[in-house]
Amino acid sequence: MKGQSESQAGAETTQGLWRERLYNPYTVMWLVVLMYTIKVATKLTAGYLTNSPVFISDGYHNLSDILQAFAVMVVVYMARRPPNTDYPLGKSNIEFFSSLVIGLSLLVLGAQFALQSLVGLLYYLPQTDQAVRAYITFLPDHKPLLTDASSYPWLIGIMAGSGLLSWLVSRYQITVGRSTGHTSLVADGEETASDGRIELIAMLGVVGQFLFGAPWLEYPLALLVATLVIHTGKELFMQAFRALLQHALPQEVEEEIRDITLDVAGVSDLLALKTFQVGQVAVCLLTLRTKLGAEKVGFVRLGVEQRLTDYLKEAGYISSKIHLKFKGEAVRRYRIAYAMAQADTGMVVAPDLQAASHLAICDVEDGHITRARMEVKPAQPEPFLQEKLVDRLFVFSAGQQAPALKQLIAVKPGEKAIEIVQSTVLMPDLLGL
Amino acid sequence: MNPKQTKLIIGVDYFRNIDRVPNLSFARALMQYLDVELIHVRATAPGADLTHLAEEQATRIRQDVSRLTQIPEDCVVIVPDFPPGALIIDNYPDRNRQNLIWLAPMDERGLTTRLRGAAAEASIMVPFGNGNSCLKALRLAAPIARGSGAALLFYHTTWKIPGLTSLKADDHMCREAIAIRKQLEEEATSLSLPFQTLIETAEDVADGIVQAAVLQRSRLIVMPRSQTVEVGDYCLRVFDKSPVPVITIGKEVSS
Repeated sequence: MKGQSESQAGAETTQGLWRERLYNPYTVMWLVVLMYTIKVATKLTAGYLTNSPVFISDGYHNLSDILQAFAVMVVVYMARRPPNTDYPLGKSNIEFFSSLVIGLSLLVLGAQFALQSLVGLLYYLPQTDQAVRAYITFLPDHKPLLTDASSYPWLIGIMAGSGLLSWLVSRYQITVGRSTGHTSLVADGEETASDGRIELIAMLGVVGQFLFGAPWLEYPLALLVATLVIHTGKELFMQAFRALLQHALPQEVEEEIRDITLDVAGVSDLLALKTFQVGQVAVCLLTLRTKLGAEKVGFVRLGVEQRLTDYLKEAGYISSKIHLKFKGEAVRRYRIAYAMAQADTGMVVAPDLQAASHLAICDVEDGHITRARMEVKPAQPEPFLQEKLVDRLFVFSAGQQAPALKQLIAVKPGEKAIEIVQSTVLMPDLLGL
Repeated sequence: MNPKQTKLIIGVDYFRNIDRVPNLSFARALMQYLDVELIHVRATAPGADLTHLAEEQATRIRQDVSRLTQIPEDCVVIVPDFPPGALIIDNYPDRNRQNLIWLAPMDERGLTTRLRGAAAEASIMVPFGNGNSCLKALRLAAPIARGSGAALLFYHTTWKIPGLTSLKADDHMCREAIAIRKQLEEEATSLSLPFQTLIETAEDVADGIVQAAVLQRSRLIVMPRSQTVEVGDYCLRVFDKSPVPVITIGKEVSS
């Protein structure tokens, strides 16, 4: 029994080790280097043998992809360095520089590809070509494939294999990039996928020429691919640009953060929310209002932090840093007074100021009496009340209507005249006196 | 007798305590969930030579409560004291009144005011231990859960059994707690109420309860006061720490 559980544990450890290796960003990037080395060798050989400018230029393009792969490895290495006192959130933002460059290079590649495709299409419309070239003099010359029947299968095979390889490796790069939070890996994966699309279109061109003697078929499709490449390039560029300039997290994410925060018991209001992204880490700075004391606020903090962390993980961020600041309620303070008179059972609220023997001076915070002091009514009560900055004097006279609480707490600032108001209660214990 | 009036009496103290408005808002929300029509407001009546003003004060209080809660004036009952077993909404309960049920709303205005998503995603927590006093809590929590649409959450935290390596908290439960869990779940099933049971091995029982309530989106914690513990009653410790509203059922409240 023991032996069985030990071997099971051993198998789990080996499995974990393999998974760790498989999801290692360097493993992926070395695979990318290997893939592009094979591509460069085959494309350049085939290109020079068949005198194909498409294969030769694509071969050299792949050579630059190898250099890019090494650059991504350097970026990943730097991004993985632990945070220190100079860089408390680490250096993972460096990945967005590489995303920015890859995005830009995809935009250039897409534009070049679109231009080449337009030139290719114009080649089959000689009159239009001539007219366009009269206005746009810098248009490049069209370079058709120089192939024969014996080389077609080889060229189709190389491009098809190359395209398939690009697609598989790009999926692997993107999966690992997302699970490890390496933006540059995802961006490079998108670039690899774009290469694959271009290779597919080049293959279709060869097939078109081989089967129908119609190589022009390649160009409308190539225009479509160029649009896709430009779109991907723009997305990567904008994502990196926003992250580097610490753009707020997407609006829908911020709205969800707001909703989740206000859903936690004890949060009266969300006063301020600032969000941005460092690498794949979401950073949220929240200022919250609460009426609760320190012991309870500890649990409010826990609730907000935990629930936002869970949500941001669901939203695709590798981790999050939540900074919470709590502010108490802004208290509005003012002063009121109760006219008090002696009854058989003790003090009660007097029917009017004249009948009062005492004045209860009450400090009010947001409509609630927090401090009350009983004073003997002076001979001149009005100046005394004014000196005490009392806004309202409460009395309890029969047959009158007491105003609503909302009216009572709506103090007009700077108002000096003392208003006489009917009290709801007669008994002082109901006021806390 | 009003046909909508149930056995439960919901009350608030008309004292100037700083939470009067939240108390009334929560009371109104509870009245809706439990289909209770009357609210009992405790206020001292003037005596001796001022008895003729008692009705005038009562009228003014009724008007005030009605304006704050939108409850009709004739549904506001002024009482000199609460009858045993009444459910009183107050953040400052009188801990010596063991024949009352106290609900501290903290800073909440009701169970559904923060509602986000489906009502059933929120929960009403009934923590349980080794004793059957939690069944008393379930009997109070069940109609509130039904009325508000929230699910019940049975929570238990246990100490780890020394030497037992299992990471599953359930495996560390004692026999009595397992039996209580079964009873709670059977009762919830018989009442056709949705429920979930969460077992943990928290470092501290009160902290575990409050933490779970916050993370599981509980809108209310319902706990009975311990019959035997004199110092450190979990119920009171939860009350002191929780931002989530807490109902504490007094020792002398019969089930």
